[in-house]
Amino acid sequence: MGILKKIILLFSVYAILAIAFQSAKRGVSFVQYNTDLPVIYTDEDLSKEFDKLLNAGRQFAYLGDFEKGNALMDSATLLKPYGRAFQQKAPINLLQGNYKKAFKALDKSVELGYDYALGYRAWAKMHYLQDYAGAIKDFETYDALSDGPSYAFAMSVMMLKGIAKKELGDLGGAIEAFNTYIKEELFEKLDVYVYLHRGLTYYEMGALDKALEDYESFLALYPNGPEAHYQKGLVLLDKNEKEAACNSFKESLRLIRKGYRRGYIWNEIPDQLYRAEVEEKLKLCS
Amino acid sequence: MYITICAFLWSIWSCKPPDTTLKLEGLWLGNYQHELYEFPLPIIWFFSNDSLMTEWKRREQKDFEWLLSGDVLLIDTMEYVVQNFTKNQIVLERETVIVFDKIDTTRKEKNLDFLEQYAWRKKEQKSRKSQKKDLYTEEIHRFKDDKIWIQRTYWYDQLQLGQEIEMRCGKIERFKEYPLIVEAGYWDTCDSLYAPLQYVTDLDKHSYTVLTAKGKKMREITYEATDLFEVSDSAFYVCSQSVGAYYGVNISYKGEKKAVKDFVFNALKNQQFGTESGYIMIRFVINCAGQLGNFEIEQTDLNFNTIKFDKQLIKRLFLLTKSLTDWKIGKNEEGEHIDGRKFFTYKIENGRLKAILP
Repeated sequence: MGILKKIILLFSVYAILAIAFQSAKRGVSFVQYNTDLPVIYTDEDLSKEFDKLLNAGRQFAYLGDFEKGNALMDSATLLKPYGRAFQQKAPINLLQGNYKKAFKALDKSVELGYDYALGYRAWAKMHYLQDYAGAIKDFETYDALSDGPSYAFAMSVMMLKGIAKKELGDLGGAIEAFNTYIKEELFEKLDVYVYLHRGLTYYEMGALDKALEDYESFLALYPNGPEAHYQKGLVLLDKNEKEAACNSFKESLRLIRKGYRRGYIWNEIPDQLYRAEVEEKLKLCS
Repeated sequence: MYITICAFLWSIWSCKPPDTTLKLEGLWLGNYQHELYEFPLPIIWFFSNDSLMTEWKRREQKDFEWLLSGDVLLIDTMEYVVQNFTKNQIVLERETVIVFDKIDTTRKEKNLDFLEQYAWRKKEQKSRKSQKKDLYTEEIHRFKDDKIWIQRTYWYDQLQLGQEIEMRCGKIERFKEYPLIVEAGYWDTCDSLYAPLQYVTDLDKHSYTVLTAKGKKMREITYEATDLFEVSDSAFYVCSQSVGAYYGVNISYKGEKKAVKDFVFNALKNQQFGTESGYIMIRFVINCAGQLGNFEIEQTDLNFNTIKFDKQLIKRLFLLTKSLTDWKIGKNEEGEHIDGRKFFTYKIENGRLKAILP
């Protein structure tokens, strides 16, 4: 028998025996934890394995084992080295203060061309780091990707840009962004809080009447916003309309007690209203 | 032909059926292992020669009959499939995988009373100060009143930031003549269901060594004797095995974030500490009684690279965080108070506190 035939026979025997005894090839363990990866045969298997590793990683991270949690999520991204997979590593790390891990994952996601991650990164920079300049830069890049209005974390990018500009002291730029948003957004989709943020910007500029007008516009659309009642009260106080101001503060507190205030348990939002602020102002009222 | 036969024999060998000439007799320390999750579910098995064995689990001992037949180990009415069996390890499967390591019982320990006469420091910690990390924690522990007390000292280079005492359920016990240190996970019941078990292999008045499951492997850890420290029942403790994040257990601060900001900013009075900019993250546990402990501190620049902030700034922020005591304690679905993990990230610009995130 020739050498080539012998080699073919040898491999044939090995293959038959390997299948017969189910000696599936084990993948290399990329991390120190047990993530031996069997050969994945179908897309469905791949997705299942990905989900298993990602969820396990999230669970460990939730319970404070960030090293193990991130190692497992890294293993998941080895299975699916796509932008979306890297983006999914970010939220649990953001929520737990592991900003380096979160933004590294988002940077990778953006690098791989996952557009959603760009908007999310901008939103995260704004809300988790108060990096308003960085957020604006990302918002603008993200916005340029599509012709129509864009949204990040379900919020209008134009409105978010306005808020970021206001925080940076670019009050004119903020007003411009809010105006654009109000003008271009469909009425039924308009976030009424744009009037709050624009009103606050006018207030900072000293334009009390314009501020008041915006708060009234807000309340006409949504009377249950304690933020607008409170800010209206501040303007009225500046205008020496103490009684009206107190009524606004009382209404604000009433609505806060009923749970109408906008906010998250995870992070402070720009222009966050605190109950203590309203209660402090109410001390001025008889 | 030769090569073909060798390949055939190698394939047969790679299946590794259990070697029935291996002996189970002796002491085995167990650890549950799941594919992804690590359960330190400690069990000790002692197999006698006469088909009898004793199991130690959750501080209880029970006797069973056992039989090893083919690749099945039968203990009482429980059937375990033997996945792998070597001289020093047996891997079993019954719903989940359990790994048992054979314990060498030839080394004799001495008087267990030594354990309570000293405090103990992990041997590797001696070189801690020469390590690269600027922020680090030193721990020593002692045994007293069926508890393990841990004195935890937080350091930044040579500057001590603070100290705390933590207490845990922990007992020195004997299983037959074999000495164990048993920690417990749940503070109110001292249930040891998911707590690591330590088998004392060596002990004298200078050091003791234990064998314990850590990271799915059995490891030997040696502790060296040091001076005792004072303990108190007002020490910090963690109420349960697992501590969830603040948003999952609904932890909040009385007066909300505004109260935290007012307190910290008023305390620092816009003071400047050095000129660096970046983030100082301080993470901590709030236990079911509202106490704070188990701190972690990280310092990075604005691009998340590790930097060194002014030591006094770190110390001030650490102590200010530690003195935030008006927490609304986390609750579970049944409305019971539970532990939670929280953090603040202090954003620093040119040495001054700029914001408290997130």
